[in-house]
Amino acid sequence: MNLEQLVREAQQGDDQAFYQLIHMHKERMYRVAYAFLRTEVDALEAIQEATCRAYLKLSTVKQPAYFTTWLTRLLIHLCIDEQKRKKRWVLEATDRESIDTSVDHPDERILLQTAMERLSPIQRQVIILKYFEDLTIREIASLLGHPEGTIKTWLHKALGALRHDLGKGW
Amino acid sequence: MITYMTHEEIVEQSLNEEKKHMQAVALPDDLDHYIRQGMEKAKRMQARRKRWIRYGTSLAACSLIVGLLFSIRLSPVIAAYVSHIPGMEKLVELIRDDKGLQRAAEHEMVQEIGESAQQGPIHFQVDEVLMDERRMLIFYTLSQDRSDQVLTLRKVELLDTAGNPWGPGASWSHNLEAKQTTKNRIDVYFPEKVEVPDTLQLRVTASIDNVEQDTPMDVVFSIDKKKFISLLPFTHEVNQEIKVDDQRFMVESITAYPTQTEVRIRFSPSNTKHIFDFDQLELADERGNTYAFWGNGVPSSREGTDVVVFHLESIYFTKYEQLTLQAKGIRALDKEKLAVTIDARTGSLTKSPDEHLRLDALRQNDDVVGMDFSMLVDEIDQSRYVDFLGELTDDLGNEYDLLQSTSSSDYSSRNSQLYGHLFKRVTSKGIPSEYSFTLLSYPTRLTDGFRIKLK
Repeated sequence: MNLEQLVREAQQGDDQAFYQLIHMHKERMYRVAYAFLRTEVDALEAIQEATCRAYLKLSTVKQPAYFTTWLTRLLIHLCIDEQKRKKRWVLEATDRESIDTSVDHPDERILLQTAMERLSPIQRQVIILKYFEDLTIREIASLLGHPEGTIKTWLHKALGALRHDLGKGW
Repeated sequence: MITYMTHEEIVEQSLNEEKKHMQAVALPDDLDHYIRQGMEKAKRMQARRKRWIRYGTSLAACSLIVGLLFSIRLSPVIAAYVSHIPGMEKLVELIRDDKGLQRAAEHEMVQEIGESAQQGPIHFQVDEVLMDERRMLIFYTLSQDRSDQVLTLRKVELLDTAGNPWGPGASWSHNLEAKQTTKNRIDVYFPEKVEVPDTLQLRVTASIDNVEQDTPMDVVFSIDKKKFISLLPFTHEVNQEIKVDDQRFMVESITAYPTQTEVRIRFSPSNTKHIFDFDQLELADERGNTYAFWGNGVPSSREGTDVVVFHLESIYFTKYEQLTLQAKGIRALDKEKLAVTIDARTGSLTKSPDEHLRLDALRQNDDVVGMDFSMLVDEIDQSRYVDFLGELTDDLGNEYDLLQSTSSSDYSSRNSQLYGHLFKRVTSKGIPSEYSFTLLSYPTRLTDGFRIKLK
């Protein structure tokens, strides 16, 4: 069964179809949630909540072809809300001294994560979608419901901020 | 090497490195478990919503979302009077929407009960009863040993002493919050004259976090009929005919009981329009006090095809010199336009009253039929929903059960309302080519309301 058929089946109350839908998207969902929230436990909780909301609001999806976009948007909004609630950008490790700098430039990662922490949520989400999820500007625009020009501006500002912060490291 | 990279390159490289890390992050083993839990949570919430919807529509409360537009009319004098009795403050809270019930409480109609039952950690107590021959309110306290679970009444039954079901049914609201103790009320109606027994048994089944408990709790309590038996109803015979837009109806009588006033209206069978309901039907006295249907309860009941009895707040204990019956508007539609038909193949409306009602989507899967409608409403209806869809049938005579209905406003344009209905076909007469239903209500009105002097 293809995506659109599954969406229709799920909209008519078929729980198995709904489960399959989420299952198909779970890897992408986890990556997005993890990129935003940075811990396994937070990402899992966000996915649980997103599944719940998707189940309750599935009837509002008018065009099944856009289910993936709709689900991703729902998850991103949840992650942003969660971040706002926690008011922190969770880092896996903050103790720079303990990092072994000889392998794989781990201090670069910390620098990047710290720099991303300083971005506004909107800039951060554009960076995540563009660079980690490989979405085009047009796809991001459609996902977030803003004009492409706005997305470009946010991306430009976000990259500028990262350049500024990362530049300090060298 | 790095020192020769531009800042742009540094950022690109860092982001690419990070992306590799992200892609390498292993999916947790229990991801599927979290997905299942998300679905379970949604189903629990949906079940709760469904019950609310069922409760709401059964009382036609959908049309009463206007609630917030009115101020709450709690007479401070009465509140003070009743509240001085220990334990009565909560009861006063629970009837603050209804002036008639407040007066009844003021006239010592409240019966203290204090009978209780315990089931594991759950305690249920019938605290008080306020009733007459038309209506009964049971005030109860439901409590548990902890405060982090949602405890609510799932089932309510009334039985006579022989253990047979008694009364036409009850309505109550579901507790949606985690609380240790809840005090609320159960409303019981008697559409016809009933013999009230001396002793009643109330059987309730509770649920904790939406899990229904296996064993119900039974509370047996005595009814003190002396509290109301001598309070005989009185009737004003009215028999005044009203004509608006050539549509006629007769206000036949008004009968006051301690718990409610009943207005009996007969609609002329020769009317070309079907009158659904009145906007803000109320009694007004010479001092401007009004008595309307308010809050919980049954707003009206039908007797045959032409007579509707409207239930308003009680004027029983009220002193008045003059009494007026009035309504701001009359919701009606041409009788020939009451039937709505839908082409099952094209998913379009083939017969509908006017352009206010639109079918946005028709979904059919085996025996489940989903319908999404939008309704354009005028400003007056923006804050209330129209319970328009009655029994669904089709060209083959199949019957359908309503599984779920939802209503919401389209916030971008406040005069557009969205309605979703999900039906299940319960007979197997084949796949239909046309669905049909009769409108229960519609946001069209006669040109004026009415106002008549009764006394």
